[in-house]
Amino acid sequence: MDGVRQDLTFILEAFPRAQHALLPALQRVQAELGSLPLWALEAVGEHLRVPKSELYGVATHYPELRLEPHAEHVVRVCTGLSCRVAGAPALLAALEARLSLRSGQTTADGAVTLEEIHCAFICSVAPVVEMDGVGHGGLGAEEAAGLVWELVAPRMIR
Amino acid sequence: MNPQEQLTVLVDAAGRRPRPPLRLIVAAGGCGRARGANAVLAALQQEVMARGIDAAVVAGGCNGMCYAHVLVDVQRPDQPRLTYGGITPGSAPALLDEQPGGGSREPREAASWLLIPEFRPSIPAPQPLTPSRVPFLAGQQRLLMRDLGAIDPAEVDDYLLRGGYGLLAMALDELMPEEVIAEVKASGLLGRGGAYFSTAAKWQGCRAASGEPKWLVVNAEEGEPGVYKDRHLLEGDPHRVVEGMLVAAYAVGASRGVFYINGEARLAQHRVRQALEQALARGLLGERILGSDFSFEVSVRHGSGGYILGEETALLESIEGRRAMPRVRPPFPVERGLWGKPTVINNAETLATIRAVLELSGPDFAQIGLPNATGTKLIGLSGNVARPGLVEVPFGTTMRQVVETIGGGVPGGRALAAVLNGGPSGVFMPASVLDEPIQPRGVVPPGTGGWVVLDDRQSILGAVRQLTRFNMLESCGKCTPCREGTVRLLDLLDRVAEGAATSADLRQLRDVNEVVETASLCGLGQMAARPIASALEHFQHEFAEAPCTSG
Repeated sequence: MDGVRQDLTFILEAFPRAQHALLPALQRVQAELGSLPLWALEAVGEHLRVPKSELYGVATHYPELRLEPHAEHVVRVCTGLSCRVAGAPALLAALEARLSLRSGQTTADGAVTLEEIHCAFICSVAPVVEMDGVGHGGLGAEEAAGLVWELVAPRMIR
Repeated sequence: MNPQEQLTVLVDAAGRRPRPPLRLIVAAGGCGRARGANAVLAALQQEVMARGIDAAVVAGGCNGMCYAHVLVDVQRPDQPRLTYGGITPGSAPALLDEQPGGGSREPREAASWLLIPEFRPSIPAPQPLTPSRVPFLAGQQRLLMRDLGAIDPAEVDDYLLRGGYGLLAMALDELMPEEVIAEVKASGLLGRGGAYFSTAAKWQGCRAASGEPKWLVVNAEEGEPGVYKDRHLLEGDPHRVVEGMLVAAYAVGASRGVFYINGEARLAQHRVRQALEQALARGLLGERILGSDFSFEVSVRHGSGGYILGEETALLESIEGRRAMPRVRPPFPVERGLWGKPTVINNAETLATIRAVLELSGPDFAQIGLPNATGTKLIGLSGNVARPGLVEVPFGTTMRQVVETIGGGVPGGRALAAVLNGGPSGVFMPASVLDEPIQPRGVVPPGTGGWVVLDDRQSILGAVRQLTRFNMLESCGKCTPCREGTVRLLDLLDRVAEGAATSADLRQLRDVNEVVETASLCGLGQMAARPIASALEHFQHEFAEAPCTSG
């Protein structure tokens, strides 16, 4: 679960030993590892001289910080109000059907996680689907399902 | 050399750099990219190379016409600027066919706007469109958005050639910090983050406070669902906000700053970092700016999600390396902010307005809009509206002008039910207030700057539940009224939706809502009550009591 411990010195030495570097350091480590396993939190704490409890508190406070790694691909459907009125529910249903998943779940092989988000902040091109961080606006349900298939298909063929 | 002379040197150098006579600026902001702007960029670049034309293909920002993506702005010397909409990679070659090459190398201002809603290869000669002929621009007054989509946001030279940093140089040369504050005071500028507090009063408070160093924080956290205007600004014209930040820092006596950008606004982060690096390289930032005695250093920070971050004291906690939880006030940040030092926190839109204030002078700026709410407001339109996009209108503009004339009204022959003004901290505005003017604390408040149009098929109660659920999830948990109250409110709303609410439940809904509004520590809780209160006021019929509850 915690993955293999790595030496994070080369990442952490860029940050001053001060509490104000906490969030940037966690963001940087997550960018490197994909998530924040407990051993990494400890390493950050040792470098910054911040107690583990404080680190755990911060790491679990910010929604975008993750203690567990994501699936290989992350498909996020915006179900904010603008997207909802532009057809997000139908779009989400089409993706659930295509991936045989419910929103919030990951495929059995760990390839794709399907999630809902509150807002993608490009409301003017609703409905919005984010695939691996890339936004797509104004897609119909079938188009979106097609794009997800393109994301997943290479793996299935492999 | 004084600052203005130093700036002239920079502008001259920018003007001497060779610029291709033909510039194609693709609206590759977040919205445009989601509609295929990167593919259009690549197609145009490839075509330009294949044809061997002297043309620049630029990744620009969006001019607000998000409904017509992918937009391409075509600029030739001595020609009116043309804006094409609906461009696809396939139509890129035809777009180039239309453009004659050649001309002088002087950059020039746009003479008019042109928009071809659906560009096709063999359409007749385009007709010049003035605002009256482009309904989307009717009634818009673009002070902040003037250069959006028309400049290269990755190139400080473009900004310099359009007068950029000229007001900073003027202020450093000619105005004492107190005089800058006096000018902003005369302009009547109110903070655009949502609270509409006097910007000059905030600056004055910080200037007068004791403690060094003083801090200036740019709040571009923008985490409220439905609001996307700061991203547009930063993606398309980041230097305008940077210049406002520097003028503000000079006025309040701040020597250090933090530019705080939403964690998921990656393009905006990139644009701001680029802008700050270029400003630093040209002596517009850092030690002894433009040769003056004013020095300012700034770092870029970004969040990791969480709506509460936008609350200004929670933002300070986050910068200091803690969980984003608001502080008890007083003391206010202008007296004791970052690490206990006097701190001004300004919204990105507020700072983008500073250039317009100094350009026009305070008193002239005050002529725009309403006497008690001067200037313009950015509003991002979305939802059931024909032309979603970013709008800039003076205060006092009616809701009808924004939704119907500019936005094109509700499509598909449906009727307007409501406009949600702001996201989960917003209010529902019914169709009955369409002719009311936009003004702070009015029935059509400017809000944070995102309007979601809802047609008559949409359930207001459903929307209220969605917003309340968001507020419940985003409550940081520090104060009881917000932490417990939002849970209780959602329970009660669910009962109403199930048709099981008793008259006591409805009474309790109002009571709890009032408690959450008045007793919460910060804006998140205080504002969480607003969607519910406004829906109860204007859409009472959706909050029906269960049929037999008198029992």
